[in-house]
This record gives sequence, C-alpha cells and structure tokens, in this order.
Amino acid sequence: MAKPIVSMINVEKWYGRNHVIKNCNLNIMEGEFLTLLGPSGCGKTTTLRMISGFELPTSGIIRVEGESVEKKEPYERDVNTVFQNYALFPNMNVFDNVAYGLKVKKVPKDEIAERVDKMLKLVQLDGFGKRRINQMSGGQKQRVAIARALINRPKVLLLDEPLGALDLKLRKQMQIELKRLQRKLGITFVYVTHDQEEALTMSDRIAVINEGVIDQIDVPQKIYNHPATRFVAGFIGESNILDAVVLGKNDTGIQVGTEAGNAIGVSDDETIETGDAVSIAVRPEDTLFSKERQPGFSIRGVVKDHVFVGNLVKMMVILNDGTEFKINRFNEDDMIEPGQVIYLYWEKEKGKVLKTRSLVNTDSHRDIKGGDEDEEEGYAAEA
Amino acid sequence: MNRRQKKQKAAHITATIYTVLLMIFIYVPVAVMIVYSFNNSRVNMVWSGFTTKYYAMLFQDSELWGIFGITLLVALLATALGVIIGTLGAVGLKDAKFPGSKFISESIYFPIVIPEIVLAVALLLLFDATGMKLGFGTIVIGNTTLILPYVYITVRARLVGMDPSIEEASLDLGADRFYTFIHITLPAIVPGVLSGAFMSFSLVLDELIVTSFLTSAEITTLPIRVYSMVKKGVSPEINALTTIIFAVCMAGVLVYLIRDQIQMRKIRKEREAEAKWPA
Amino acid sequence: MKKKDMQPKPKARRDKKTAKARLASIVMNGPITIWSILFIIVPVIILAVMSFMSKGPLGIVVYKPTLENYRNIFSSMYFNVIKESLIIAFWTTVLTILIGYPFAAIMAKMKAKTSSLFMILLMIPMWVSGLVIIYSFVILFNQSGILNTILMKIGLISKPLNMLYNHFSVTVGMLYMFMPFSVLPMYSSIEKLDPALIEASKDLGAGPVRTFFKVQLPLTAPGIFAAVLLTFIPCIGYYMVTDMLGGGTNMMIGNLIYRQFTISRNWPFGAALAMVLAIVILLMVWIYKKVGGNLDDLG
Repeated sequence: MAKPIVSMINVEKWYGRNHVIKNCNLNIMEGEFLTLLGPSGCGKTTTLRMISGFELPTSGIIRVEGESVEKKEPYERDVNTVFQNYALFPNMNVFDNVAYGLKVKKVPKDEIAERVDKMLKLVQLDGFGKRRINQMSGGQKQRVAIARALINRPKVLLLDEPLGALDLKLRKQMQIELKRLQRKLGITFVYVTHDQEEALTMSDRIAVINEGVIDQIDVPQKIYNHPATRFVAGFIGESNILDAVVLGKNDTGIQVGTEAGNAIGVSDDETIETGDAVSIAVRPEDTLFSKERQPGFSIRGVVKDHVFVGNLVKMMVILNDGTEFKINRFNEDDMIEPGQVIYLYWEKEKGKVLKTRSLVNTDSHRDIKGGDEDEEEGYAAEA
Repeated sequence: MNRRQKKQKAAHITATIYTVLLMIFIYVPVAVMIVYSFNNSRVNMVWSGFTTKYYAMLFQDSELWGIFGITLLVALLATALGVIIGTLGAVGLKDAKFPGSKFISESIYFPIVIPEIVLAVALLLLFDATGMKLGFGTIVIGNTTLILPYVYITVRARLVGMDPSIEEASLDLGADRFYTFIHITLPAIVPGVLSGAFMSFSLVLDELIVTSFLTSAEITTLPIRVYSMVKKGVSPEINALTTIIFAVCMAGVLVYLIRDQIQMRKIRKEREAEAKWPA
Repeated sequence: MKKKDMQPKPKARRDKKTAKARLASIVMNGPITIWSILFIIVPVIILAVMSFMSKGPLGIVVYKPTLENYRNIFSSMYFNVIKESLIIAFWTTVLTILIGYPFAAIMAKMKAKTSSLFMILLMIPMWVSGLVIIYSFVILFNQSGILNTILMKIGLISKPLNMLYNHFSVTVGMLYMFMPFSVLPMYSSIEKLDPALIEASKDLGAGPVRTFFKVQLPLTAPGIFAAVLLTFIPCIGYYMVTDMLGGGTNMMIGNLIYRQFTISRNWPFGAALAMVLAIVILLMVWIYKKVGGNLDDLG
C-alpha cells in the first residue's frame, strides 16, 4: 500500500494567461481513496483531467505505475473516469454501454457477456442490460457509469463529482456504496468534489486545493483538526479566523496579538517566528467564554444574538474591532443574553496559528510520508 | 354554445379556410403542370387534347435521359463531397482553436447569406483566373460550395444538442478517435447529416444559377435544359418528367409517414409493456 | 526547494495537444478550411479586385484600377434596374410575411405531426422543380390561359386581363418560389413562444390585437427577420422568374449581372454589380445578427 500508483511531479497548467495548476506535486497511493477537494475553479477537475489525459500539462511529469503518461492519449492510459453527468452513450442500451470498453479491445463475445453480467451484479443492476439509457433513473445511470468505467479493470478510477446531480438521500446512499465498492475491489479511487462532508466521510486522504495549489494533503481527521493553512481552516468545517502577529513563542504555545486582543495558540509549522504575520483559527464549538479575562487572552466582545438550530445553539459575538465571532453550544442554558460583555478564550491546542500562505506544497516528500502513516490511523478509526 | 366556444369555432374555421386557400395557391400550379404533361401540343401554352405520348417519348428520349443522368451525378457527387467535408468540419471546428478557425467557420455561411449569383460570379472569375476549364468539374465544385453551409448548419445543430463528454468517455474507455467518431459521434449526429444530405441533394437537382455560370456548352443539366426552353415554351415532355419526379417524392413522403406511424405504435406498445414491469 | 515564480507569464500559451490529437484536427478541419479558402474566400477577393478593373475592346479585361464601374451603377439606366429589383424584392418579401406569418401561426397550433406534414406539403413543389412549376403560371396567366378563360366564362370580365409579363406575374412567381422556405423560421419562433405570456397579457386586460402587437410580434421578430432575409436575399439576385414571367420587360439586378457575363461581356461591371449586391445583403445580415438573429436559422 505504500507504493505510489500515480505521481504528479512539478506539474504546471496554463490556459492562455491563466495559471490554473501551480507546481503540483502529488503522489496517489495504491488502493487508497483520495479526494481532491476545493471550491469550483480551484483546479481540481483540471488535475483529474490531466491524469485521465483530456488535458495535457504545460510542463511536468505524470506517472502511472512508474510509467510516464503525460504525453499519452486518454485511450492509452490504464485509468478510467466516471463523469459528472454520467456521459452514457444514448444510442446504446445498458449492456452495450458497459460492454463498450471490452468491445473496443475486441474481447470475445461470450467473455464480454460474462464480464458485463458480473459487473452489473456488482453495481446491483442485475437484469437491466436491455434497458435504454433514457429509461434509467439518475441513481441507476450513475451505477451504469461506474460499471462501464470499472469493466476495463483500471488501475485507477477517476470520479469527477459523480454524485453532484443526485438528491441528498440518494447521494448519502451512493457514498456508502462507492466506499464499499472501493474496499471490495481494492482499486485506487481519485474523487473530485467541492462537498467537504462527502470528502470527510469517504476519503482515506484528502487533498485540499486552493487556486491551483494543494494547500494540504492528509487524512480527514488531520485535515479537520490540524488545518495547515488559513484557507483549509476556513473551507473545512466552520472556523473563526483572525489576522494576527506573533508576539512570542515557547514550548507550550504561541502568543499572538489581533486587532481585537491577544490570544494563545499552537502551530505545526516550526518556522513561525516572533513578528510573523499569521492567522489564528478556532472552531465555534471549541471557543470558551467567561465574565473575566483568562490568562493570555484579552479578546472581548458583546453578545449580539443566539439562534437555536436543532442540535445546537449558535451565538454571535461582536468583537472590539467589529469582527463577528461564532460560538456553538449544545445546550441553550450555556448561552448568555444579548448585550452582555464576555471574554473569549480556548484551550491553547484548539487555537491554530497558521501562516497566511502555506509552503507545504513544495515539500511533497514530507506530505507523502505523513500521509502514509496516517492512513493506518484512518482505516483503524473507520473500522 | 357560449361566446368563448363560438369564438374558438370561428377561429378554427378561419384557420381551415386559410390553410385550404394556401394549399390551393401552392398546388394549382402543380396540378396544371401535371395536367399539361398530358397535353397534345408541342408548345405547351394552350390545351389541345389528351395524350400520353410524351411519357412514351420521354422513355425513348436518350438525350433527355443523358441530361437527367448528368444532373443526378452532379447532385450525388456534390452532396457526397458536401456531406463529408461539412460533417467533418462541423465536428472539427466545434472546438478548434487554430489561428483563423473563427474566420473559417464564419466564411462557411457566406454562400447562404449572399445571393447565389454573387457566388456564381466569384467562382467563375476564380476558374477563369486559374485557367480551369469550365465543365463537369467546375459544376460539382460550385454546387458543393453552395450546399456546404446547409450540411454544416444541420450537423452543427445536432452537435449542440450532444453531450461532449460522451466522446471523452469513449476515448477514456480505450477507443481511439476514429473508433469514437464512427461509434459515438456519428450516431449522435446522423439525423443532422441525413437532413443536410437530403436538403443538399434536392437543392442541387434544382440548381440553375451556379450551374449555368460554371458549365460549358457540352454539359447540360435538367434545370438548364428547362430554362433554355422557357422562351420557346416548355415541352410537355419536361412536364412528364417532373410529374414522375413529383410522384416519386410524394411516394417517399408517404412511405416515411407510414413507417413513422408503425414506429410510433411500436414505441407505444413497448411503453405499455414496461409499465407492467416491476420498477 | 525553491519557490517557483508565481508571476503570470506575459505570453499567452497555446493549448498543448498530442501528435494524434493534432492529426485528428487536421483530418477534420483540413478539408473544410482548404475548401472555404479556395472556393469562398479567394473567389470573393478576386471578385472585389475585378470590380475595380475596366473593360477593353471585345470584352477583354484591362487590369487598370478604376472606380468607373461603381460610378456607372449609379447612372440612371442601371439605377432604374436596381430600383426595380428592390421594389419587386420588397413586395415579394412583404407579401411573403403577410401570407406566411398567419400560416406559421396556424401550424404552431397544430399537433407536431400535422404541422410537419404541412411543412412537407408546402416545400415539396419547390423541392421537385421550382422552374417547371413556375412555368405553370404562364399557362395560368396568359391571355388565352386558364384563369382568363374561367373568369370570362363566369362573366366576371369581358376581355382578357393582362396578367402576364408585368410586376404582378413576377411578384406572384417570386412569392411562390420563396414563401415556403420563409415559413419555417417564423413557425419555429412562434412555436417556441411561451403560451403563458399570451395568457398573461390577456389576463392583464389587453385585447387580442394589443396582445398580438405588444407581445407576440416583438417576441417572434427574429423569426420574421430571418424570413425577410430568406426571401429578400435570393429574390433580389434571382433572374429566372423575371425571365419567365417578366417577359424581358422587367429586369432585375440578377438579370443585369447575368448579361454582363453573357451578352455584354463586361466582367468588371458585372463584378461591381455583384459586389454592391453582396454589400447590401451583408449589411442586412449584419443588422440581423446585431438584433440577436442566428445565422443557423437561415439554413
């Protein structure tokens, strides 16, 4: 499992004057479920399309199983794609759609029939072979698309927001099913989505992409609990992020100053020095408050209002400098009436001090190693 | 009957009368053309008795059949060329980004946005300047140029409705571009190709302006022959030929309609059968 | 490892393609590119150049630039022909729209099957052979022709009407020739019209006339404009109908151009006439595109 099956080395992509992928270094491990996560237009789909061969990198190397493929045609690569809108062939029935890849390879007829039947069984479409595509529901079309892509026994399956068109309930169901398929087949899945929840539930590792740069690549727990950049902290889950300057640093924590007051946090980044411009991020559920100042913290605010949203209560606090700060609690009794003045603090491990733009991407080696070790944890946690 | 119903009925009657009148306007000349193919007079101006001799003459008139053959050949060649070039071009230019590709795709519309006679004159000047001999070849080139935009437009209309990722899906599944074009792209655009071909073929069969500018004395097509007769009066033989073509066309439409009806019934039956299936 | 330069590179980059993708592009785009350069773009350039040349004795082209041809066009004799062409094309177009639009509207209310049947019925005569059928009008319209005979028999007229070889016969012939094709774009624009808009207008108290002029007409204007172009463009350059039904008394610009290349052998002047014709039409097409028309609808 420690072997990379896809490696992207110093890959750059320009569209005219647009620099869409900036020095991408990415190793995808054999058998893993890797998600490329980011907002629309961040370059995640472009990255996927460079692996499948629909886009060629402007420069850089892409290897699949150690072989350079960046100049190869899509049909010369041992990877297959599940498209966003399924892209099923409208002039063929379900059987012919799934059989297409085998027919192209001139596999004998009886073998085709056998393999297609097996594949349809795998995606639970037993007996649907004769159906026309326009007679299938969205979820069924999705299964056909997956079956069609898997029949060639690809080394890597690429999925481009495959569940985007499905309704919420069906999406949840398909998420579980995709994960089951991936476990069963042991094929590497590279999954593109902008839905962080989807990424967190399904992935072994997540690569968070921001403006063509991989900001962080790690197991979901690490991404959530130890965001490497301000962008990751803001994009994954909810975070309060304040601009800050490092005031001092010791073994136990980093003292920072913000416009609204001082606070303490920690950082995984050892290069942070006193005087650096940083951000400090803290999740709404990790934020504590009291009537008195706590040692090391001097952020003060006025409670604006709170709302009950079912499983939790959200409180909005206006800080001295006018920033809005969110606090979540599970119990309404913990809330304070609007208009009251409170001091905010947190356990210093919960305050993440982040450099504004991470350099993580240039040090891919460390990421990969880190990813490897964490993968074991990831599987253990899910089992 | 209330006022609203009365109004609707009146509108319906008006529409029917209008349609009938328009069809009379369209089909009276056709009827005259057919009736006068049985006219016993060399100069086809006034009626002078019934005869079928022009049909008999028509089948023995080897010169006319020769002309008809040339006309068909020109139409077939021009249509084939236009369909191949236009279809490939429509698919290729869809996402082509080579320098000047936009200008090329705009220029294809030229033959339909300018009067035919301008194209005819321009091509005549080209063939004259390059010293190309007028004749069969130049007629085929001229007609192909004329119909190219029709094929291009009808194929493009189908391409717009096609999901471009099905081509990518095919490449992804291991098919090269040629296999993809034959098995995926072509089936998706075939209705456009066919209607483009049909339009082109009928256009060339009846084409006069471009052909008359680009032909030589030796090569005559049917429209040119008809046109040359205009001043002397069209011979009933020509009427007979046109009547036959007309009948063939009508038969074609009839076959198409009947086939359509059968297909509709088949689809309906299939749907009913499916409704009985468990979901 | 050093951080890469993040500055955007100044020069736009071409899309990268594999050699096979490039080959496919050449196979697809090559023929149409070569064809349209050789047989559309180059001929039009030659035409433009020719229109500035002058005529020598015996119809030989003298390669000496001059504006003489264009000046000639605006001389009274030729200008009359242009005026005549414009008048006939104008009336044909007006009649085409006035007669074709209601029929397009009627068809839009029919079932899809019925309307496509009528579309075929409308076009078949033109598809088969417009020329031969147009000649039927000579049989219908001449002094001792069918129409005059019938009209005299029922006593509506005492002596035969002069229906042939005038503006009337030419316009009817042109109408017959071009109306069927112009119904299609009007039909598709009316058919696309959302019936809810008409309902809404009536619901707001507008009468049928007001609804038609304020809602339906503006919304179907692109279809009408396409129909105008589909009639006007071929009509103005078409010389056969004028020859058959105009009897040489009426001349259209198409006839004039044809003459320059046959009897008169004045190619430069013919080229200049063709250029003027092309420019006028392209101007109209340009306006059509400006108001949101689609060139594909002219197919």
